[in-house]
Amino acid sequence: MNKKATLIVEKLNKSYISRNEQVMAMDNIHLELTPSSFNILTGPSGAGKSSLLSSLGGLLPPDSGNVCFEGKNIWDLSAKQLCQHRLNNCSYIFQDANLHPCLTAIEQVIILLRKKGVSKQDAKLIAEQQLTEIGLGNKLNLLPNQLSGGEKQRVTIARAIASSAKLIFADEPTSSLDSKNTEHVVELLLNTALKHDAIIFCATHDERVLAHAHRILHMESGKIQSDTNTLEQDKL
Amino acid sequence: MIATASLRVDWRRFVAIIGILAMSGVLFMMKASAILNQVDGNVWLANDSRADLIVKYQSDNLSKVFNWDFSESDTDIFYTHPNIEQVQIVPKPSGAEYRLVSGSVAEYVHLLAFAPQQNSLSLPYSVSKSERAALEMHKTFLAPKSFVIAHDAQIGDEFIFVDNQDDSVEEAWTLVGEFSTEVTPDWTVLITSPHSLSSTPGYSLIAIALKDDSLQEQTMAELNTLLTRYAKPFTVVKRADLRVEARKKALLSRTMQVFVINAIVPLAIFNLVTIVLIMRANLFSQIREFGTLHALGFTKFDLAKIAMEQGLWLGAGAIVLSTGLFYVVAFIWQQFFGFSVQLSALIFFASAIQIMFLAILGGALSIGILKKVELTSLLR
Repeated sequence: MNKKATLIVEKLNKSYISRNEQVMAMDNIHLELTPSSFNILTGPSGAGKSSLLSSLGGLLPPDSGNVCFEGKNIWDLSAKQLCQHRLNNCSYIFQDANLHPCLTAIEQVIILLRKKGVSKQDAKLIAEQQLTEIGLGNKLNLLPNQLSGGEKQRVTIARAIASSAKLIFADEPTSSLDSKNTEHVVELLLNTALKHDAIIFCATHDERVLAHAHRILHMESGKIQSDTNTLEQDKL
Repeated sequence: MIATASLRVDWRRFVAIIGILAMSGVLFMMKASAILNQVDGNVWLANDSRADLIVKYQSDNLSKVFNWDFSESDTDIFYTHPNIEQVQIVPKPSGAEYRLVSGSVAEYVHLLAFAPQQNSLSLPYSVSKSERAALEMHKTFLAPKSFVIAHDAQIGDEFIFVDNQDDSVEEAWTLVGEFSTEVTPDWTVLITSPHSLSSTPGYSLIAIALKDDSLQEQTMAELNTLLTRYAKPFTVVKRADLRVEARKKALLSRTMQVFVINAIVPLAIFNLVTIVLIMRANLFSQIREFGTLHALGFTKFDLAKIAMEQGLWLGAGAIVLSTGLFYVVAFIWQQFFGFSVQLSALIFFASAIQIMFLAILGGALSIGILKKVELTSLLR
């Protein structure tokens, strides 16, 4: 059964000037991403992966084109509405996790829940539960500098799950992790996509991640050169 | 939570910011104190005095004493001295039943120089235990050099003589009565120091509170005799004459007020700019954290609230530090330049409110930085 597409990208363009030359970061991109999917974006450096990820995540406005989520073009929203969209629907996992250096693991999750209006007690309970589920139950009160790279990424994933994000954007989430941690993080992302009907959109060079993807998009010079649905391939 | 967590975890960086903010606070306090002590201090203090008579060095430069207005004072008689340009009356502390006397050792010795017949320091007054406590507080917080004399002293009593300047913090002196025999023990003597702006050591003022108004004429006569004998440069100025002077002074005072207002405005602008720049620098150092929060869905208003809360705490720390630094700087000024300023409650609260307000405002204004930076660049 085909799942209803919830993130539709239409005619997305973005260029920037580099050394007096116009470079196309995104060149007329069309894309549909479905819930419960783990989508991988590959391509060489400078292909436009991060730009596409950021535009889809409401962080980088495109020059033209639409990014429609649940029927609304997010780039038509006001700044405040866009913030609200990011808060309610999006979560981000970056290469070095970008956790607030002064907040403990549990506080990283709590602040987002509190921002979403969850009561203090419930926020603490949910945060504790999610962090425990992903194996950080004994590290709730540690600061980011006391956590390993893999643990930091797991905190961001816990934050995404706890906040019920429907769109999770990950930019090179495993590049600084060893194989064991990579496996763990990818497994968590995959489970999140399936359990919570989330769309995972992950830009990576990491071959270890590709094996788990539902869909692999290859990007070069701002264009999507190939789009492989691995689930359909498996069926065949 | 975020603001306090940042302060708690990253306190080393914030200590530096508090230090810089505190320097700005000290600058404000010193300038405001210098200006306000000079302009308003005398009137405020004179009006607080409950002295009946004030003996003062004669001053040809009375007009130089800013805002010197005795019209509201209970004082009846003034003796002035030509060698002094600035005077200041120190108010008695609230709740005290005695009249506070404040002066400096140097000034006292200077008085003795005018009274060569008198070989020993002697005043007919003593200091009780409670007064001594008040004196300790006074010497610590208000005047670097001071002493207190109560009105009910008897001959043979000891009185405390404080000299912070020489580190001989206090010394007991026995009342020998030479002075007291000539100045009735019914008087309370208030000796005040010109420790605000005068470069000339010496008595500025002796204020005398009479227990009985009927003693006034007698007291005046005795004082005239005494002061003529002991300190020839003293002269008498009638209160009524001073009132005329006061009217002239009122005009000057208004001019000075305009000056003060004009001095405070650029000072406030300078402080505003400094503090906003400090707070911007503070935010720059946390730009990645703020960018991440913005990406997660925190609005700029949310971020401004975090920055403002940080400003609130930083400002509070800066107030504590700047108050401490103020006394250090004031002490150095007093010791090396003979120029002292006092931190009145008015100046303290004005400075505190200003620092807090500017630190909070600085935090809020610094959020403008986010507008100029692309969100994705904040996250790298």
